[in-house]
Amino acid sequence: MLNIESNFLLFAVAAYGLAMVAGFLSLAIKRAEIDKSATLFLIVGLGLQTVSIGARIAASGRLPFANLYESMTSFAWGIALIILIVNYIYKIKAAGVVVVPIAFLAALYASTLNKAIEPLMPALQSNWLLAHVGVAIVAYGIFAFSFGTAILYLVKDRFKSKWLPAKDKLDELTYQLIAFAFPFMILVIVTGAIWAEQAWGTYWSWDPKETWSLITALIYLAYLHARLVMGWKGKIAAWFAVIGFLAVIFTYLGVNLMLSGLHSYAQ
Amino acid sequence: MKKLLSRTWELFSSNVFAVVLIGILAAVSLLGTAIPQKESPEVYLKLFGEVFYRLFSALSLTNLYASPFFYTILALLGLSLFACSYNRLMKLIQKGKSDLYHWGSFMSHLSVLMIYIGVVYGAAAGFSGYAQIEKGKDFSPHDWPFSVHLNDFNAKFDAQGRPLHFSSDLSVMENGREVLRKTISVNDPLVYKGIKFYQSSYGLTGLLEIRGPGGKAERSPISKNACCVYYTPTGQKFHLVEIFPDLHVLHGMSMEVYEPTMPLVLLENIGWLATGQVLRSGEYTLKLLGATEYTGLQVKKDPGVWVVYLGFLLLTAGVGMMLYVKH
Repeated sequence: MLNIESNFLLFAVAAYGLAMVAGFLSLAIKRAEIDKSATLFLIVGLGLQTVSIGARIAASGRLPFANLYESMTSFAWGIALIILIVNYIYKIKAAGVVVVPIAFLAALYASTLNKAIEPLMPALQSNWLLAHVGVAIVAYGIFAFSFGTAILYLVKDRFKSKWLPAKDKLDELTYQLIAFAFPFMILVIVTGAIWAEQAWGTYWSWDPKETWSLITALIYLAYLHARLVMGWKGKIAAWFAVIGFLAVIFTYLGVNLMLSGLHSYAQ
Repeated sequence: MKKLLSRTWELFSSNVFAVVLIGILAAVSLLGTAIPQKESPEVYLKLFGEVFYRLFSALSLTNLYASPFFYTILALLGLSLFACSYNRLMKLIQKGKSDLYHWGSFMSHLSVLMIYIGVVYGAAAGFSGYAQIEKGKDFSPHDWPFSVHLNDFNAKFDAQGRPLHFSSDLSVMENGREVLRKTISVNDPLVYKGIKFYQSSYGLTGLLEIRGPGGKAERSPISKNACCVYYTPTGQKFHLVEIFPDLHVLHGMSMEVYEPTMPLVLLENIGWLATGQVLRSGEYTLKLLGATEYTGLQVKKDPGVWVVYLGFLLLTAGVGMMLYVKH
């Protein structure tokens, strides 16, 4: 089973890599067919990774949410799916060009991690694991896309590329993505708090992971306030979206790699 | 005076002020993750040196989240939330802006205030502590109408010796009879009369007999939680490094069940001591009489938790209504 799992993950990494290259090429050569082929590679990659994750689920008998490898491969899969969905809904060409590399890097990183199936440690033996990690993948995946569109906005602002989508469209899409992801971010914290109350007897303990999830939520909260009630748009909003996603990355990875705390099993 | 009040109200109703407070809360929270919290002085001295340690502790950065400074930020944010909730309610009532967006906006602000109230109420009316109960013994604080008895403790390990599952079979005793029995494990606590018992840790308590220079023998319990024992006549200290249930664990072999067969302890600078054995160290004679399993329980009462959860529900619903409904 491990062969199917790790081989198909590598195939998926390759497909995401091709999608990424095609995306960049479409910017350079400015041909719609190349942009379409990027989408095609992404669909193929998603299919391949679905096989890999399916093999993992079959072998372990549970959803792949428990350690860094499992959550990272689920995260990459989630981003790829989110890109396809957002592209389908909004039909803004090249919108995903910065996000596909994130899916690629996440899948690549996952492929290097320890894939041994290990029994769940006692604290993780809870149905809250599914809810908590599930909503986190949705929230972080959509925030990743908003980061991508915010970066495109800043690039467009600087270089006035004609091929990139219009600034207004990027600005609006960034907002819509953040507005969609924010309730999921609230749910990440809420499910985590309820689970912690059940497992450890306290719903909040200022553990570094908890604190960083709060910091992330506060950054997006400031973005939403600034936008909804103060009418901030454009460049400053784009920078907020970029900083917000950097906080997401630190919450997800930085805390585990650099700080110690209750979430140390995710290493 | 009236002018000052209305100015203050204006300030707390201000969106800019709210966003600035959100930013300050984020930045200060970040500081608390950059500096380890509630560690011993040695840890800080090693990390930052004496000057910074003194500075950090003077600014209460070593226990930031419980500092007056941090509470002040939270209180200011609470006032801002109160003003914003009130203003939003007025909008709903007076200006007739009662669509889902405005209801959601009011609810999400009110919900955070509710969480505040739940946290404060829980802290004021509840308590939190730790109980260590040996197998066959009771936990009975003098002001409780009931006690908790540990019938049995079980733990299963994987091949590397990491715990897969550990559980405590507990009985709640009231007026001499059992009123509730439950086997608790991590993620599955026991609740009785609003007090919750969480499976938190486990271990062994050894019983050490020490005979000193005077020839007088003393018996002291020794465990990882109380790492040291003293021989009172001379004040000599013995430091526990580790306590093992049997030789299998010592040699890195796995156990199916955590049942001590031949407990042994490792004492600093002295060596191994198995049950029944006698070990000499200078003028002292040490003997391990045996060891008992104990379970470590987090004991908590938090009547505010339901207010917090209601706040969570209101927050999720309110934010969803604001952001998912077109306006």
